[in-house]
Amino acid sequence: MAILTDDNYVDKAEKVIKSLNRNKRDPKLFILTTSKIRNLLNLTSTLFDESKVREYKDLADKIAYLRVQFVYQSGRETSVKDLVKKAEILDILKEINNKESLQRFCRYMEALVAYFRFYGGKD
Amino acid sequence: MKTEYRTFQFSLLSMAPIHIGSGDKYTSREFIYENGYFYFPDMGKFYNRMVEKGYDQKFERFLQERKPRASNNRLISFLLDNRISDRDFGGYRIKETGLETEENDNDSKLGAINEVVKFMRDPFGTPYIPGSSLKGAIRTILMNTNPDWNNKKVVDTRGKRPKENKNMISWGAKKGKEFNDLFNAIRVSDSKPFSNESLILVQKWDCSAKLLKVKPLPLYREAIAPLTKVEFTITTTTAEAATLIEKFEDKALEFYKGYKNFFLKDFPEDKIQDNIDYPIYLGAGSGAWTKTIFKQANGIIQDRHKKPVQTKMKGKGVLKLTKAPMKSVKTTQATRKLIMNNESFYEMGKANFMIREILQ
Repeated sequence: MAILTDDNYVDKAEKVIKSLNRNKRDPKLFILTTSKIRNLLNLTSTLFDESKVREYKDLADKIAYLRVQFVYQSGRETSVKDLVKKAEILDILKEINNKESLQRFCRYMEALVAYFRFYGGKD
Repeated sequence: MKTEYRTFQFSLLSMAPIHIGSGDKYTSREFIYENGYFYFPDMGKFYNRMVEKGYDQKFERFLQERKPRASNNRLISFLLDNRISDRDFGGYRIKETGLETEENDNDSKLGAINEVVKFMRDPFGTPYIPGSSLKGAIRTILMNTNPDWNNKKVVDTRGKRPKENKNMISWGAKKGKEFNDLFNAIRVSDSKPFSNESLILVQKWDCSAKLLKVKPLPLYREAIAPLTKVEFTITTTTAEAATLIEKFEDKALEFYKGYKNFFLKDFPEDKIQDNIDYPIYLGAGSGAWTKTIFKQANGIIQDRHKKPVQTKMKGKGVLKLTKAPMKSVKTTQATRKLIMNNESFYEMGKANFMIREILQ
């Protein structure tokens, strides 16, 4: 059973963001910063645009490298690691095998950013 | 409204490194420093090859670890450690200038630089300057030098923070009114794409007004090397717009004079470059006062940087410099150095230009 489906990815994103670690002094704030989460979205947004005009097999290189970039970014910052773990991003990336699942994943990243902003993440 | 197209050739000469960003960057592990070149491979291709060779696990581990010496955390050290001699990963190379040393780091080995901000590129991967960037720089000069636009009314104080009153200059269609949009009548083309050989990597250096000390920042940009020529065409469609472009060279001088009196005068003269033609500031790192209507923005910009966590902006801020190889230019009178100091400091984003009408 796939982790991400068309029906659950928005709710899943909301749950993930709600469960993120928060600043101890000011619980309204996340430890994760907007620029960090935006960096992650940047990785997928170009892929999303390209997936609309190019064949899935032409993107395989980039999708494989995407995984590596997520690993790299989470290694640099614990707050990113927290997100990548709770959002199960690496597992979902393994599940991507066609255009639909790729686009769903990109939408999922967008949903994460949207809920991050909604629940107090600041610019 | 009568339409009369007039075309102008706008010849830009970079006086200092100019960076137009695409919004993307290379992280410190996405380039290979070797034999005097920075090689930026196509990382998708690179990773694919690592998978083929069975190095993918090792590569992922390399990305996650952090060794104490910065130079051991660069892609080249991964390739050397695993004896990978392939270098055909697509992408492109940029020649080093020798000034890219990361002096903030504990080892100042060449090539141990941090993130590099990417230059704007077209779909073929060749760098170019978008006309919108130049048009913005033109607009800044026009707005600063016109008293109708450079006054208190340009600040919109409604809302949380003061911002620019965007309706100062009429734009867009208005119902029942004749279409009058000045900046629609000034059309700036993109530049022709230029080769990667015109690009160098430059570091950001800040010069403070009080201490007059220059310090390097861990930020590198792909930038056009000094003395690169870039051509644009500007087309105007109304008489009013054409007059503005005809007068633009003088406006640029006027703006520069004001800018010098307002800001540049606080800094050592040897860090400021003399002009050959008409001055303009373009792209990243040239500083807030070259991007704003500085008389009106003075105070507002400082207020925005009051947050105690961030570094507070002192006075009018720092002069933003960069290092690039020293170059000379032949003018009609003599051969002249582009910079007045011996430390290779240039004013980031400084360019000169000339405008000539193209008569059909």
